[in-house]
Parts: sequence; structure tokens; C-alpha cells
Amino acid sequence: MYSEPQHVSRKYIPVFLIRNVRTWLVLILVYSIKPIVRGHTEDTFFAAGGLSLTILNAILIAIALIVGLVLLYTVLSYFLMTWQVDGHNVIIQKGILRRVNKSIPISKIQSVDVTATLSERIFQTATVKIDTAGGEGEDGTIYCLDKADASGLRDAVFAIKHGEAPARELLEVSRKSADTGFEASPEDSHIIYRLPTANLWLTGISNAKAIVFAFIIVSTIGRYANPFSEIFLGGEDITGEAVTYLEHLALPLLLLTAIVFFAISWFVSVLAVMAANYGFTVCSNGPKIEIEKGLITHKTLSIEKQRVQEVRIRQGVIRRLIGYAEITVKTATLTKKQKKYSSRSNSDEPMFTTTIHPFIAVKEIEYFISMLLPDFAGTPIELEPLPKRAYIRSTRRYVGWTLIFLGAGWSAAFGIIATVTGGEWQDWFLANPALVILTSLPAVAFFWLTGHRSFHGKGVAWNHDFIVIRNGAWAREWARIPRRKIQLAVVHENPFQRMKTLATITGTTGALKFPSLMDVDRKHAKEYLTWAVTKIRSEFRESSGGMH
Amino acid sequence: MIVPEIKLHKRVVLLWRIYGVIAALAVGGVFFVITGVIYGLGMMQGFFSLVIVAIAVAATVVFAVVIFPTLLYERFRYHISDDEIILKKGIVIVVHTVIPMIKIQYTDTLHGPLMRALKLSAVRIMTAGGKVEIPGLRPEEAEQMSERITELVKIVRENV
Repeated sequence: MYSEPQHVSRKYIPVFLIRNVRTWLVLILVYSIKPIVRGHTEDTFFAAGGLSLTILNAILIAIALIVGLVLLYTVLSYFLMTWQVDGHNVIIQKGILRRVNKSIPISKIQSVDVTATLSERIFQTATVKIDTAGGEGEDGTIYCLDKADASGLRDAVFAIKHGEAPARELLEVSRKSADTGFEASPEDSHIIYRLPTANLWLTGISNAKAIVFAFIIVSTIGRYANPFSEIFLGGEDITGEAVTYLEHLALPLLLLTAIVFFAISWFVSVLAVMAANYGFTVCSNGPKIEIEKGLITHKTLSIEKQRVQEVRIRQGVIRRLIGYAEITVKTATLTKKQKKYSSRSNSDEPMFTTTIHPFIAVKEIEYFISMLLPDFAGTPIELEPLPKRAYIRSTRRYVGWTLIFLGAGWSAAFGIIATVTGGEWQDWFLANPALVILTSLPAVAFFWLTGHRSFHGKGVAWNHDFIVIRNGAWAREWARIPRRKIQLAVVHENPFQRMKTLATITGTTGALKFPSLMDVDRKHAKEYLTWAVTKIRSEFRESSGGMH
Repeated sequence: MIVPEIKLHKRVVLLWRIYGVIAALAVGGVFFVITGVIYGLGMMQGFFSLVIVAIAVAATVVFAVVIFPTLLYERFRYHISDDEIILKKGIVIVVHTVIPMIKIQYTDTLHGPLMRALKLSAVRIMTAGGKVEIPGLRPEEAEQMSERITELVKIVRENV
């Protein structure tokens, strides 16, 4: 099957037209808001009995030009793109100016991911991403296949690779609904977890990123609100009469609007998180973990268990209160460039982070990991706290930085006030000392408490096979690193730590630094360096009677 | 834990001083261009811009030529055992690095033009998680070290 060169689905043209034009249209719209509004306030928008030709025509011409060019590009790239499964290789040819003729040996293929974005789902197509050990990047991706072809390609690859039933079918067979979410069938070594609907809601609500996202949206709206406020406030110089207007009337109104916007965007973000995790299913399939999720963009991910370097368990502030956590894994990946210039590879290359469970009850973590990643079960549970002398460094560090930032902030504020009002900043400070102190004190108290909690949040422990590092002041994060994955073990001491005989422990695994732990007892840190090395030679020597 | 005690070859200080001189020239050049542009725009007096260039060069010379090479040399210690390579280095922040022998992928010996002129070489040790360099070795010493590490890695791998 598929031994002749195949074109991707014809629907490639509308899907990519929409995708490529979308970004440009958004950019044009965003940047035309200001001139249109400005034009309106300056009365040129409806000038000469019609619309302002200069602005609108420019926008329309830009849109027509972009749509035309993108259409040409999309049609050309459709006709120049083919794929085929030729014996033991998947061959992909694409590109207009930079022709890519990619031949991927099927034996080297690690995973075949089938994903569909919203526009692809509307047109009933899917994107196939072929991942090899070396990480082929974008070149191993075939966009916009008919759904049947996408799963057909995947099946064909796995059929050739294993000479057995493709993973996809196994997944379908073993997928059963379960209220608890957990499902174990020892016969075919398939473990499945499905996120129940009730937990989906909690996943969204307890996601701290949703709140951060809401803040970003509100501040973005705030930025673009300025030209609109010019209209509402009469289109005049905003610093003049408008300021007094704002002070007396619009300030509470603005605050209320901000809060309403915040609530709406938070709710939308929660829905987005829920959509991303909709139908979350994780499954252990022999040497691989397979994850399916997503309502709008449906994702199928697979991770090679052997490539997992580190397991992280994270509890956000809200999730700590309700006793739930999120589990992610870090997998080693070599980028194409790294592979090509392997002597230049460095530890800053990105690693893949994959969520293997978005919302798990703390008491179920051990069970889940032992089912899905048995290699990562059996880590030390009781962590050793930092020595008491590290406490003062923790609180001092947070309070110190707070004071520096407050100092810089207030100096800047005083400077601006002095320039605007033309007076001396000292006068202003002496007139309002209560304001400065009352706003600074809560910040100092908060960061002192953060330092206090950060001290108690830190901990470390290791047994024969693992090191567990815990960090976090308000949130908590445990990193589990197997000893055999540690590539470099590093301990460093700065002069302040030396005075208190403390040190920081860190290190790297497959491609990335793992979380460091500050202010460990120096003696303990040195023990970590000894621990990190598997003493194969000395153990071997002992067992073979002093042979050199 | 083994405390690393082997020092680098003394000539490496000279190599680092030469690097320091090159850095000072580069800093001087950059500052000369920047202050030159500002002078050209008429925003600064010529004498004043030359003073800034001189200060920048002097500061680089003091640190990169006079102080750092000696301190770096004094603080750099290494040790190669059957199971691991241990490095200790750093002036302000002291860094101990341990590389398990089994994680070493390969080693390079480096000979730059300046290194060759001073009869020096360096060994670069590569792991999947990053690289570590031992500078300031005599070329034959570097070759020997590289061969020894390769041999040790082979033995360790055979006995896993």
C-alpha cells in the first residue's frame, strides 16, 4: 500500500490558506485598529461624505495581496508535495524553493503521531508526524492527509516495523470506560487511565496558568483600550481634563470593568485548559506510553519509556489545598542540529516535557507511576530538610531582593513625580510617608513569608537508585531523577554559602539541568557527588578478588 | 570522596594571559567604536571618550590579564579515577563536577594555534548532558589522558 507517490488531501489548499492567511489577517486587524480609531476621532474617517479611502483602501489592498500570494504559495506547495511508503522507507518530497527529499528508514521510526488542529478537524483531515531517534524536526511531518490515509500510513509503518498489529488497534481494543479512571488489564499489559469528567472541571479550575493567562489578556485589553477611551472621553488630550474626569467618576468603573474582564478571561482560560485535556487517556503499550487528549486540537502522543530522564510531580497553590498534583516527564531528544554537530552539543538544548497525568490525587501517585513507569517507582519518600542555618539565608534572600526592587520602584516613582510636579522628591515623600510604608510593608511581609515557606519547601533524599529534590514556596515540585541517568553531578558554593558551610547541588541528565537545590549541608553535598557515580570498577574489583 | 589534587601545567597561565590581552584589545575596539560614534554625533568631548576607552581597557587588563589567570590556575584541580573524573574550579563560585566514567561518550584533544605555539593542549570530555574541558596539558599528556579515559570507559562498559 502507498508504494506510489501520493499527494496529500486536496483539502490541504483551504486548510493552509486559512492557516497562513489567519496570522496575517490578525496582524492587519490589530494594527489597523489604531489608525481607524485615530481616523475616526480626527474626523477623517467619514470625511468627504464617505469612508476614509486612504486607511480602508490600504487595508483592503493589503488583504487582497496577502490572500493572493498565500493562495499561489499554497497551491504550488500542494502540487510539489508527495509521500510514499517504499519498502522499508517513508519518502517525503516537498518544498518550493528549498526542496526536501526525505527518506526515513522505518526501522528507525520511534513514533508516528497523528494530530488534527481545529481547521483540519473541520475538513476531516489530519497531520502525521514521524519521529525518529534523531528527531527529524519539521521534515518528518506530512500535513493534511485524509483521515483514512493518516491512520493507514501509521498502520503501514508499524506493520512493517513490527510485523504485527499496529499500536492503534490495541489502544482501541483496550479502551473501556471507567468511573475511577484507572483500568488495569494484566493480560495484555495495558494500563489505561482516563480523566473522569468531574476531574476535568477541577483540572481547569485549579490550573494556575489559567489565572496568569487571564492577567495577560486583561493587560493586553488595557493596552488597546487607550484609543477607545479617547473616543469615550471626547477624543481630547487624555492628560488634561480627562484625568480629572477619570479621578472622579471613571476609576471605580474602570476597576469594575477590569474585574469583569478578568473573570471572563479566566473562565475562557479554564475552558481552554479543559478542552486541551478533554478525553485525556494514557496507556502503557509495551516500551511506549501513549497519550490521547484534546477536544479542539486532538493529540496523540507517544513517549519511549527508555528515553524518560526525569519525572516531575507538581502541585500548584490551588492543587495543594485540594490534595491533587500534575505529573510530567522529561524525555531526552537530540535535535537535528545537535546530531549533525554532535561535538558542539550543549546542555541548553530543549527537552520535551510531556504531561502524563494532568490531575491526580496525591495518594494515587505511587500507584500510577508504578503502573505506567515501573522504573520510576520506589523513590525515597521521607525527605531530609535543609540545615537550620540555611533558614536565615532563605528569608534574607527574599526580603533583600524585595527591598532592592521596592527601593528602585519608589526611586523611579519619586523621580517621575518630581519631574511632573517640578518639586523636590523629598518633599513629596515627607508629605506621604504613610503611603510608602503602608504599601511596602505588606510586600516585605509577603516575601519574608515566601522565604520562610521556601526553606520548609526544600528537601532532598536519595536511595540506591534515585534522588528526589523538592522545591517550592507556595507551590511544590518534586523531581525524581534516577542515578543511572545522571550525566554530570555538580556542586557549587558561592562565598556566602562557604561562610555557612552550605552548598548547592545540581546536575544534568540526558539533555538538561535538573532542578538545583540550594543551601544543602556541604558534607551532604559531597556525599551526593560520591553517590552519583556507580562504582562499577571498584565493585567489580572487589568481586573478582583485587584484580586490577 | 576523593579530593582532586592534580594541577594544570604552569604555562596555561601564560596562555590565559594572552587570551586576556586579546579580550582587552577587543573591549578597547568596541568601546572605541561606540565612543567614536557618540563623539561623531557631537555628544561627547574627544578627550573624555578616550578616557572611557582607556578605563575599559585597563579594567580588562587588570582582571583578565593580571588577576584571573593566576587565580584560575590556583583553583583548578582534577582527578581521574577508575570510575569517575572529578574537577574543582572557580574563583568566586567554586564548582565541583563529577562525571561518571560510564556516561562519557567520547573525548577530543584540542590544539588551537596559540596552544600549539605554547606547546599546550586540552582534553574535552563529552557526555549526553554536556561537555567538560581540562585545559593546560602538554600535548603528549593530553593524548595519554584521552587514551586512558577511552580505555577506562571501555573497561567500565564491559563490566556493567
